[in-house]
Amino acid sequence: MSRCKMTRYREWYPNLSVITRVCESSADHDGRWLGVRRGWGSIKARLHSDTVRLQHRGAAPEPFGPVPRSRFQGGSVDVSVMASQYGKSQHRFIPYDRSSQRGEGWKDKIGGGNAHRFGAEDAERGGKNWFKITIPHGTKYDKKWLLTSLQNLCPIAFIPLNYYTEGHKVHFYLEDAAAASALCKLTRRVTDSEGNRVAVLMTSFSCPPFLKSELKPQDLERLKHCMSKRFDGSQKSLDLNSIRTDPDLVSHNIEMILNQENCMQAVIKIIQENIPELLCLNLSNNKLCKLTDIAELVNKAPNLQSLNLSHNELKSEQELDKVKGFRLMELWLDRNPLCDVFKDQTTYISAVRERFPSLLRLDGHVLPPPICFDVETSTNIPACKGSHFVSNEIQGLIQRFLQHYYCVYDSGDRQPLLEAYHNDACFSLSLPSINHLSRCRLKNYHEHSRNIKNIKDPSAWFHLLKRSRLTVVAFLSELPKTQHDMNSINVDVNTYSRTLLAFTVSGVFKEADDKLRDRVKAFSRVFITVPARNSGLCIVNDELFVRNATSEEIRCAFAAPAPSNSPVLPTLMASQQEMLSAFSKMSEMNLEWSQKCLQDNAWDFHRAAQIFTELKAQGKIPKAAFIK
Amino acid sequence: MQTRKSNPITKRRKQFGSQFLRTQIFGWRSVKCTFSSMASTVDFRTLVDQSCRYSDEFVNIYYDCIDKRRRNLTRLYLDKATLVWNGNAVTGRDALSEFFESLPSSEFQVQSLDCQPVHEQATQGQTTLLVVTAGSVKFDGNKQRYFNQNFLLTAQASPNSDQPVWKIASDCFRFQDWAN
Repeated sequence: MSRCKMTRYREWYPNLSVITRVCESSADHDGRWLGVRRGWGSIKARLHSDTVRLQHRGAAPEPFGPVPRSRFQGGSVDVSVMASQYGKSQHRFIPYDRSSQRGEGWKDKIGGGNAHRFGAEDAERGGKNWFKITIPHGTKYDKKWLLTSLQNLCPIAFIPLNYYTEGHKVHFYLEDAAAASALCKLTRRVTDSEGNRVAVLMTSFSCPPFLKSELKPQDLERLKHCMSKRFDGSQKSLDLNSIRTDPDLVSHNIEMILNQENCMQAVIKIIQENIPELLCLNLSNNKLCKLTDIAELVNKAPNLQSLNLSHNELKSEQELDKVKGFRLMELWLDRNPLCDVFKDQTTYISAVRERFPSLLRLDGHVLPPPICFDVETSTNIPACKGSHFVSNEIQGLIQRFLQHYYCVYDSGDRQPLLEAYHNDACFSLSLPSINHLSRCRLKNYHEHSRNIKNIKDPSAWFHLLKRSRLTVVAFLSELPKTQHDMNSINVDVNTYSRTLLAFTVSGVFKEADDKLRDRVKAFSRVFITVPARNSGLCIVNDELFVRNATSEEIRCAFAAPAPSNSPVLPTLMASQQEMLSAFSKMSEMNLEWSQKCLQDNAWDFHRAAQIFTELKAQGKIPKAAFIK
Repeated sequence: MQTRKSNPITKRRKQFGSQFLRTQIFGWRSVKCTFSSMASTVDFRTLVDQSCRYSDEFVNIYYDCIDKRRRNLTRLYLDKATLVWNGNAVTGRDALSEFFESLPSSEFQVQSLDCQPVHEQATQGQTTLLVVTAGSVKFDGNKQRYFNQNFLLTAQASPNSDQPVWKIASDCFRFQDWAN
């Protein structure tokens, strides 16, 4: 078979690892491997021994029966492929006829030697420098055993990279052509404990997927711009048809190959962040061969109703299982290899409907409407509200407490907090379970994080809990200096009784030493307090949860000018405003001091007045209080 | 004859199990003083250990219930329990029942869990646990969101069994991105 023909087939089927021969005329074909016979002698021997082991165990999508021995006499093999048999898609070449006995499975059986030859030759041509080794049914073996067994037989040491599993197969990459071809020769040399022989297949890659990194920020911006042009707001539809050839992207040298994980992930991220309300998505003409990445959109754009996947390279209906989470009403799938797999229209529709029961239109044709069951329930969740204080009194109490607490907490010296804590107060800290990148930003907190889900050692549960006011404040003093955005603070009162007031505070803060905006953190803190003298609160339990702030939170954080060191006055309610102006008039103090006096006395006018009179008589009120 | 009030020592024993038998050696008067003077480090350690185990078990039960057996969820709450759900206050079993019915079906994933035994002074001797969780939740028809939640669990005598049961006295839930 001529080499240029092979490269053409390789383009269409990059994973092709078996040699077949196109029979254009019967004259050429005498039932043998023509043109490749020379030098393929080793295959003949392998074919003989393999005849006994033709049956695949496990879930092979195209099972085939054992081929009679006679066919292999003298090593002659008849694999005839007729393009004409597949009238449906003239332009698409399908080498394997499902109904034929011989077609299936040859790929795997004979793969070893053939692919090796072509792989190495490709490398010599300089195009492809990486080799992907595939072990069918490799998932059932222990990785260490598999690699050691192969290495023991292989004369050249190899380093497997990016070892991963796909279904029942195991893949890893090699950079070394010599090692790759040596490994290939080992196909079926290793026998496992059940007596099966381990096949080793190879394909070559110019650049394996795991090397591709994420898109650069400026490329992401351009992509976002391009996508926004292709987005129709009135229909909430996004048209990514043939996005690789989009002039905007091409002119900036951005290659949007949606088949590559990094490109698809970038698109998904942009959809998630900007248009989660997406209703229609067109991904036609993008040579997509799998839908694994798009499956992530099921959670991120849950309202998607119309999906166009036509003119792609989806090979199996199992791909649809990955996206069956979408409640699609309209789907285009035509011009995908998987369509040709179905015997007739009815089976095709039935298979699609299995995944999308409420589908109304397929490939542009209206389907008979399905009869549903009325089990749909409302998907509305109640609207979110801000702080929940149970009463004005409690609001005043908590707000005063928090102002004072965070004033000290942000001041750089946390020792005065000793007064706020009970003798036997408890404190603990927890963090979200996070990936490595976020962990770097939370490094100051990470080693003290008490996450009982992750920590199995009971003594750690005890040691990570700080008890007694001295221990608690000592620990708090070690945490980085902070500046809390008091405008972002939100309070929910959990419950209260005569002896207990529990409330949850949430908001954002930044670590005062860091000038970078992205070091803003968010927190959620539960305080359980008991009444203290002077109508204050004394903390008995304190639990702090810290996480990195989201981009939205960072954007809104510290929007107002940073508060000065003096405590911020809380917003007053109408009744309080009235009381304040009355008090101020009566006492002749300015508003600030009047408010202070009222607050210190829980907005009890008479008591405040009494206290005021007493203090005034004792001469304890500074002149500043009367300056208006 | 004087009606006998429940002896707080036996009550305490029931609450904390046999590990706290040593509290029996203190007389009635001593019980009245704050817990801090009685609790030695060993007791507290056991208390912490137990709290962690109970809270782990609770979290598994609660989130399994809210995902798969939503109708039974209110049984975990006290009659007068309060729920503050993203600033919406819901009090009492009936209101809670209605509220949970109105929420779409959920899929919770708890990613972090912390707990503390609540100080006796706040609870007047009633054994209480503070349980703090965080993770992600996907309500049907809505996108996945991160949340913070905390509970106050309190031990109550149960009519159905000899042993006390944990009941939720308060529940505070908020999405991390509630403001959006």
